[in-house]
Amino acid sequence: MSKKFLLAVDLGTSGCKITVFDFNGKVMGSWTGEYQTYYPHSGYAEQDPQEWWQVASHGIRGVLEKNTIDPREIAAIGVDGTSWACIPVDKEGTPLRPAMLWLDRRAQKQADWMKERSGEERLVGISGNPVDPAYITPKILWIKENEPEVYKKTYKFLQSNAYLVYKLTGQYSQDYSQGYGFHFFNISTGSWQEDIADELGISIDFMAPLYHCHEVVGTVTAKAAEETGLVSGIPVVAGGLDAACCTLGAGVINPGQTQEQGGQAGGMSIQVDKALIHPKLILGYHVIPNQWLLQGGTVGGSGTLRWFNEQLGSFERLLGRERGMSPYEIMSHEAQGISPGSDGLIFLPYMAGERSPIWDSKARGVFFGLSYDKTRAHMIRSIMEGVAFSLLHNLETAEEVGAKAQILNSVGGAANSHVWTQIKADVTGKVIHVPFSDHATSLGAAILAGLGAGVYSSFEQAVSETVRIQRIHEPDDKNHRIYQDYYRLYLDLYERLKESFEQLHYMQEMIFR
Amino acid sequence: MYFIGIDLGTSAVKLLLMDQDGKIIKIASRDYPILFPKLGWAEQNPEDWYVQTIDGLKELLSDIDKEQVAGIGFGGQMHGLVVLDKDDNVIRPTILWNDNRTAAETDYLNYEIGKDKLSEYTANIAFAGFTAPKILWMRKHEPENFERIAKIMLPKDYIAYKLTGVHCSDPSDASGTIFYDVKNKRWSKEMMEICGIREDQLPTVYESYEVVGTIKEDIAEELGLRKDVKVVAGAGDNAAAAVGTGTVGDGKCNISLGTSGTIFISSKSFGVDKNNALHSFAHADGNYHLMGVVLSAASCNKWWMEDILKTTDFAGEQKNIKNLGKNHVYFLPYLMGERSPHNDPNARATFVGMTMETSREDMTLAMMEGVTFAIRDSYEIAKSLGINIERTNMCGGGAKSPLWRKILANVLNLKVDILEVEEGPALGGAMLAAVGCGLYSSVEEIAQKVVKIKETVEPDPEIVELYNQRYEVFKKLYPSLKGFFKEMHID
Repeated sequence: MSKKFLLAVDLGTSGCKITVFDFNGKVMGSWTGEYQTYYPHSGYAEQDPQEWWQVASHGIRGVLEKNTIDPREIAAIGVDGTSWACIPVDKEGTPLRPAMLWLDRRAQKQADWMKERSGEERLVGISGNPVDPAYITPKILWIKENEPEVYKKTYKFLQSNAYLVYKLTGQYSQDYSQGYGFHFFNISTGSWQEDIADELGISIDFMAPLYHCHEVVGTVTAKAAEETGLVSGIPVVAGGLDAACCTLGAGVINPGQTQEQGGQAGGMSIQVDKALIHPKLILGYHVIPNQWLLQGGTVGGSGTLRWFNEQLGSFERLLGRERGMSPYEIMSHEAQGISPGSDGLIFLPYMAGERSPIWDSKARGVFFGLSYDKTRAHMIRSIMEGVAFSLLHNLETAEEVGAKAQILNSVGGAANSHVWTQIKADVTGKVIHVPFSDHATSLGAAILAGLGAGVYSSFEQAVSETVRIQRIHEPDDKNHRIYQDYYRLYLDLYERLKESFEQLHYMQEMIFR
Repeated sequence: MYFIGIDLGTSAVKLLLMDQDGKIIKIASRDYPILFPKLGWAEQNPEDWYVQTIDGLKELLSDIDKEQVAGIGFGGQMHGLVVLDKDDNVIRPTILWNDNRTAAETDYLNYEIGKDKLSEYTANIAFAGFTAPKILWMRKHEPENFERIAKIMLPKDYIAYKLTGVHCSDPSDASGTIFYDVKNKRWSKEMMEICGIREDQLPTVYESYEVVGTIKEDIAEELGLRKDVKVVAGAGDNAAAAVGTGTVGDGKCNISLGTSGTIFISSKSFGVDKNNALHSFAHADGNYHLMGVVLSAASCNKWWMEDILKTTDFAGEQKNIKNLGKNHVYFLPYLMGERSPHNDPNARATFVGMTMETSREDMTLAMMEGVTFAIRDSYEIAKSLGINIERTNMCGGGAKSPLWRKILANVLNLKVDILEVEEGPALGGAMLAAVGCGLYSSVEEIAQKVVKIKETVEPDPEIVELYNQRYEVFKKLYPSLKGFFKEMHID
């Protein structure tokens, strides 16, 4: 039977999405299921990998049955997953404890110890990443210290996508794009740095064999076939980090191309062809061999506007109901009527602290410059502009190490707003392409599967056949100049308020202690 | 026995009839136009004031026993420049307190003469709305008019002059000219020289409760009043309103949250802070007072509710607000710059501290707290001058909000009294007339008799402590942003 389809498994933080694509990137069927996150103590965040498998296998069966897809027509499977999940498994691949998620902050002490032991600068220089409890290395050390019996039984430490690949194929793997979770993974050479692992007292044997993300790790086993409704023998590639797959699915395959993410949180990933390390940014392998992604993650994505809608947006919700429009469409319309710079109203989008490049968990949201002539439309536009400034802040930081973004490919909810996307183009001075991206992450995983199975001969071919651009936004020079001035003010405003943020933070802690 | 209070306001004159026990018998009012000949200019014709005042008096006095009227007193809009020629003709329309044409003259006084000199001569610094800059403007831009000036007076003084023929003023209103030496209660020689005016052009200053004369015969006849009706000097609107709320004597406080907010503190001793953050004026009770002005007070609430939240249900927005003192959001209420204590026209309103968990209620509470913290800024300065305050009145639109009363009590750690009657400067004017007619021995005495408390809100020590800590954060925000306001203004 001829092969027609690619199957993608996207293992996210709140749930798992199964999508079947044809070879042109068209969605043939999609299914989403959720699983629980457990917070047994403050700062802990765990999920049960066996639950992942239950949800995923159930979903695969569901999507095949519901869309009457013959599993024999599936050419290959790609899996993507969240970053920095730490899953110790025994020889039989059984998880020895729940997965510690990227959200899990319990290993602060171990992270501090790592800095002391090996030197922060040295670790950053090798791994290209900050030493932070979110990463896997300190989590391994936490298990070693606090759960020695688990540690003793551990055969491999797997990551999210690798665990599902194991469940499908019975093979252990570690893909390159997830390598940045380990501080003893040399980000420049793509190899394990044994001296660092030794120093930290972690055996390299815990690591599964390295695979390129599009490389076939194995095929679906009979047992897995039975559990999922697939047929045995379907090739499964190593897959990779969800964010990197999303970048691929948004069409970013050349150096200088940049994915801009306007989901709940915001972020950017610039593709670079050498390992450019910046202490304030995150560096990982792209899902494309010998290509890297220099990434910045901000708190301000579309979540800030959602906050405005939920708390202050009763007007737009009412108007939206009357006119059959979403409140966000109304907000975009309101923002359109205000001139660039919002007549001097500046918004700092640090509403959950800020991640890169300022890394200040105490930072807070600010509306600066209110006066009687300011309306809610000004506030809405200033939110959009503030988020765009936080994007530019990351792009400028990346330029300090020579990573220059050329074209931005915008994905996520914010990209649906023409006004907001144009603001981002004007603020950054970059051309923005908006691909059809509702399924970008899964498409990225499917493309990897297609490459592994030989459906596509190259990343270029795969992207040209599957990724479609729906809009292009050109920056306006005049607006860009206006925004240059406002951007300096935006940066300055944070500097001036930094101390107050700290004071505010300690006061709140005292009140609610 | 009846007393008439005349509040010569900016948009209307309000007339009030009070009996000897302070009971309000009747109220009338008459409007008159404000002229805006150019952007930022604001003028009125003194003749309009007089014509409308007489017309309003006729309504006030209809169907009452006119024989009973014994005295007339004033409260009035301050700072406006009334100029008459030698034949008592009005030379030009009055330039009002809210006229903005005098930026250059104000800067000249504050920065070339210097704030320290102004403070030394008058106990105050210059504001564009004050009288001295208007005189300087006239001297420069209308020299022929300036040359014709025979009498200079303030708005309410014009009515007193028309009624009695006496060229008079009072210390509280004179304080707002900045050519009056507040400490020594006399016109300032230095300032007269700076302004190019002579003492013979200026009115005689009487205490607010002192009789300046009796009503002219023809007017008494026209109005059907006795010929011995006494007229007292009256006071500027803030001081007159303070009399009406009993804010007289030592350490009394009145806070008004209207469009703008004021904190008015009466004191038996003269005091001035080193930055002239507060106005240091003479009071209508014969003593002194300090006043801080928050340019945007209840108007912050109006803007937030109407323009931002798009609601008219102010009470509904406030009713679910709890957790006083635990808010994490801050608001600087400088929607049109700030007067006290920063004197910074470039300052702008700012929300600081939002998180994804911040609610609509948190934002609304922050707005109300921000206005109240701004009042506390002035209160702290008054305290630093050694004035001991135990409780405060609260009035104006903001006082209608039970939530705001609670916030004020806890932010200031003061008992907050809501008064039974809130009739503003007109009541104060009538009370001053009653003192002038000898029914009461002092302004303090009549205030004690007339002013009644309807309700008192007590501070809660726990919430007070939380607000003390929040105020520590609040008071650092302006200094952090001060330079930034200036930078933004250049745009």
